[in-house]
Amino acid sequence: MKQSLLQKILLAVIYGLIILIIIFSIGAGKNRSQEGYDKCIKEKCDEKGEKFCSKQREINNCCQGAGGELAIADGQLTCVFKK
Amino acid sequence: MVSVITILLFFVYTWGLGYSATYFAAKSKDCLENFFMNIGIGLGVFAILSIILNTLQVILDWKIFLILSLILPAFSIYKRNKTKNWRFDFPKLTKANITTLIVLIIFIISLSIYLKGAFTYPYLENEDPWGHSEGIKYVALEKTAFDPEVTRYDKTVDAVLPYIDPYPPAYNILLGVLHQTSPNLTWTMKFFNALIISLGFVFFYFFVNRFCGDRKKALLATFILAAIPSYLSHFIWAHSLVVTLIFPTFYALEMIKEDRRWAYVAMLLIAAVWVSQNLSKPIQITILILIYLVVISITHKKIFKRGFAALFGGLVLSIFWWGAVLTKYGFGNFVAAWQPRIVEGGEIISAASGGLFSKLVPIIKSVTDAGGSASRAYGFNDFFIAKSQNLINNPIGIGVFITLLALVGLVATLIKYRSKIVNPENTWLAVTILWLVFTFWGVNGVTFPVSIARGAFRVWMLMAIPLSIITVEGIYFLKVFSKKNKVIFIAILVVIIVGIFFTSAKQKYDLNTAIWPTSSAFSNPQEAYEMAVWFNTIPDNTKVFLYAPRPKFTIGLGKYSCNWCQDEIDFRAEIITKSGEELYNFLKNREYEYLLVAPNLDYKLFSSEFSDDIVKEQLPLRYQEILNSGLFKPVYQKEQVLVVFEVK
Repeated sequence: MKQSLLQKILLAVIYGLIILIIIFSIGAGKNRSQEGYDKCIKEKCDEKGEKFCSKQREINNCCQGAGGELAIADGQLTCVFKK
Repeated sequence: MVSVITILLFFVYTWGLGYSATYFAAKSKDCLENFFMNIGIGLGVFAILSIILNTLQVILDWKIFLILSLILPAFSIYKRNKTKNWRFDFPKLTKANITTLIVLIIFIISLSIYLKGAFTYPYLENEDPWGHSEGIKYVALEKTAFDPEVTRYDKTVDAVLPYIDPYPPAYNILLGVLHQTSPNLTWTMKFFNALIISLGFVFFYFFVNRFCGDRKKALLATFILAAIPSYLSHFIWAHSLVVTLIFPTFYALEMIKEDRRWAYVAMLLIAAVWVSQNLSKPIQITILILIYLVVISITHKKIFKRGFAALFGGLVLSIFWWGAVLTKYGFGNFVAAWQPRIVEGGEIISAASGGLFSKLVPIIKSVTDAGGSASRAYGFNDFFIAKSQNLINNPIGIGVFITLLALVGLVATLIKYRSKIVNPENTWLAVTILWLVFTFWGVNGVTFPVSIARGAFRVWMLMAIPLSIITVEGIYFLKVFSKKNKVIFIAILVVIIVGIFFTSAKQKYDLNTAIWPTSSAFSNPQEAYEMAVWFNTIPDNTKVFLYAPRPKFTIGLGKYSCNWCQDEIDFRAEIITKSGEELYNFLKNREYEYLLVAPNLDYKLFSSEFSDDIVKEQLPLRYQEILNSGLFKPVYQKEQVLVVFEVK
């Protein structure tokens, strides 16, 4: 059965989106590090202020997202990474 | 505590309304399918009907819903009686019915797990359910879902009752109407929330059966959806209803192919989605519907007019709610209630001065804001390994077997069908893949360059839907290894089912039967537990005044206090300065039977409302006055936690 132009476009969209998702997913791998954690905290501070980004919940979200573990250093919450 | 009559009424309302909404449309030949889908459709019809009644100022009383749900079934009985047509086809033991029976077993197991978990602790979990409890109690008693006209801390919009008005109140109305015949609010919320989620699996099965045209695949997909930890937990919130409504909605859209009159049913259900949760889920579900409609139109080379009309009609019908609140609050206040950060002085803060577009930018940004209390970046292991320790409102994680099978399913589908995936017969696969792309992108909104859905962590529950369908394709792909030998395929299937059980379902069970924490407003978990224990010793809806400024705890634990009464709000605003005698007079006047004092809770919550110095100075004085006035009689005490006084 001959496909219409719209079907061909839809096909391209499906495959294109899947490729895009794969590229984004590979790119997202960069967040799994100390650098990713620092970037995450900085973004939250820039966007919603110091008080917001120093909340335990936000530190925990950034830390888990970066693949680290919450820890307390010098009486403050921080994120540590296994070497 | 269990209200059998209310369980029966729930099925009468939903089945009756579903039957009525589909009365003129062609039905399935499968009577079990008709029976259960009437319930699913009725759930949606109840939602939009309740909103229409509310807007028309009709009281939200269970008797009205009962009458409305019985009119057409009664008419049918009358017609049958007239024609003496009492023939009824009882379900026979067919392959289709056996499959349905297995789905019902999945439903019963899921319901048992959710109920076991919900009743493991005597209080309500986290924060949202307490907020819902106030709205539900208000609807049950006042029989309206518009906010009372009260002011609290100079706030007039959402001064109290955060989950009704402008929040679309269909979930609170449903539970409120059920609470009118089921006296214990805590039980009503826990039971019916679990029931709605579990019924969703039955609706999902009948939808997928229509969608892909294969009962076995539908059954497997249902098992997988029930096993995925990230699909609805028993957390009590409006998501339980709105996500469940997805399946009857798509079922109705699928049925348009059989009879175009199903478009009216789909329209009602789309409207129901739009009045059941505050925008983020309705927007995401509408995107899923749009994907479905556009793909069908392209693959069939014909615009799916009835489908688009149903979508448009549903959106228009939901104006019964959105039009009412926009008229009431104005656009600026309405947006502020939803997203305060983008509004200042009732005006949208635009990225640049001037045009409409610049005002739209912050709204679009907020609609796709990946943030949220638990949104974060996710790595492969977050998907691959399901954990028993998890978020309680929207757990994350898929599990080893399902993740691998979904990947196999996706790759196998693309390889097997290649360009044929956009052919009419494969429409359901193309739709499923695009749903998966959209929801996966939504989940990863924090890390992907652009976020396309609000509240990334809450998209996990939506992602579970296409994932469970595509996983079945992975399982069917493994059929090639069975070399057309049925026994080998069954053996593979058994291994997969056991694997899914141990890598996904078990974690879901553990999470959903664990003791969940309650509101962080309590000073410690024991306080919440002990409070609930005492509340369970007194009759439902007894008037109990919680001295601490969180009266919603009284309501959430099944008793009564008037949190939306202006005089009570005003009294509470100055409660720290009110003498023991003034407190007594107020409580006596309002016919309160008990006063509950929890010193740690009082201190913690008063400190956040008044200055620390005032609380330290005034609170001990107030306690002394209560104790020495002779107006309050201590009737229960849990040392270091709480004291209950009878108001003499």
